[in-house]
Amino acid sequence: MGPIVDAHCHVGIGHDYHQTPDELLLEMDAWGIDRAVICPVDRCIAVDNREGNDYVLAAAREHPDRFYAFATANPWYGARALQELQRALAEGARGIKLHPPLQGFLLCDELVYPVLELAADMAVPVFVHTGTPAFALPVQLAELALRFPQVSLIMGHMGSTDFKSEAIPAALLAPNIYLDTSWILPLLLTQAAQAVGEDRVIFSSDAPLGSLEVELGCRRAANLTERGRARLMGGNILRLLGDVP
Amino acid sequence: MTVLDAHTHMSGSPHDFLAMMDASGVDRALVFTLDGLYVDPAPYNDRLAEFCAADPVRLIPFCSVHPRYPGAVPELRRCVTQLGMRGLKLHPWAQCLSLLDSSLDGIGQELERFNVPVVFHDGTPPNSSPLQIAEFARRHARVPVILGHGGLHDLWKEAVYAAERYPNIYLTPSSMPMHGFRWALARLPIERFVFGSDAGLGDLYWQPFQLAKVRSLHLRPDEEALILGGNAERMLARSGGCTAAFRG
Repeated sequence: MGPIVDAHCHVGIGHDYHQTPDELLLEMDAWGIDRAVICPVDRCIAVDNREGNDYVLAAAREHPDRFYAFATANPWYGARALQELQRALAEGARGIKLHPPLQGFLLCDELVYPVLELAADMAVPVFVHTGTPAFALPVQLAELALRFPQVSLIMGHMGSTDFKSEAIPAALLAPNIYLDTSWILPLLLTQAAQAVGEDRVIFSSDAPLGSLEVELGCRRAANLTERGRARLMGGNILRLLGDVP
Repeated sequence: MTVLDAHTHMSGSPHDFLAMMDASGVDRALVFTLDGLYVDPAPYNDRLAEFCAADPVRLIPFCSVHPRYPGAVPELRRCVTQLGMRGLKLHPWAQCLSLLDSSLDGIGQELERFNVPVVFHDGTPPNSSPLQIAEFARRHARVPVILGHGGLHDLWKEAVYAAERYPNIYLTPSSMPMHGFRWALARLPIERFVFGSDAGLGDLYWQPFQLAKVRSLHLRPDEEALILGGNAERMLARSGGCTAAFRG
């Protein structure tokens, strides 16, 4: 099996939670995680985008063999959001994170189209939080994915508790949707790997909102082929990052 | 120490259900119907009573009633007095109930009369936000009200605010994010947390998943014991109902 990669964590000092890069590295070492995608924390996703992006970029520069930085910008900032994302991508960010409820927009609103166009131009994946009614539904992600077939979109938390039964049907609508399995129980992951394919399921912990220990337990309990497990635990996100081992 | 899962749904055979509990290290469980939340619950309450009779010490039935069906209050009374149910489970989202209108007044009064707790599904708009359920807790202050999911991922803070305002609100922290669970533990007395898993909903991993969340916090053993069973045991011991014949 290749490297184990946690495809979605947060670092920084947030309003609700905080986690420093060193704290995350300790957790990763304790649970055998080789690398992690790091995103900014809540308030930096909502408004202080540049501060949050600088924080994850600095951490990724300091630990280039452990971290991939994902940048964010609130689409309501318009041209300034694009400039900030361009800057962060030029400085080493490897993907984009969007959080419709935290950033206050409908997931498939045309407000977000310029961000998707940028992701297409730069060939980077976009991780989108889903599961919060009424702004972050799996079918809304599918609508966006159908408009931007060249962009790889990761469905964060697979619709979470409220829409978990809609994640797989929505992912079947568009082949450029990938399913982030954080918060999801083993049986649904097994079903997703069978229905959507083992190349489209991605492991993450959502730490510190989630727990590496708990998530790893869930993933281990899923019924996957050896190849599927390797794809889930790192192969798929590395492929989207263009970082094939 | 007793591990009591305060949120399970009847599924399969009692034998398989007890085997699942054994595999997870769960001693006792509050058991609810599932289908009985969507249609006329009476036949499902009968089935639930039969299911739990397989092991009346370990399986503790909580009935469901549907306020949109006539006779909901008599059905609650039948379940408590004749079937030995120890509490009620309601799902305002699935049952299309507003907690702010009068449709639950009679049920609330009956719960007060029998002194039995109620578990609500919570965490989902439009009808199951913690503060909507808190209004039921305010109107029926003697009834222990368990928020069955602690607000889920989006409304866990609202669940904590609701529990801070009304002392008869308890939280089952299933599907609270871990940092939300920690935040809640820092603000509320430990006595207000009741472990529950949603086991019975398809996946055999519900109980290990939710147990891992509680245990990953590395609380003091006495605090962990209260969350995993002590608090629910105390709630049941204090509650009423006509249960003597059903105690093992």
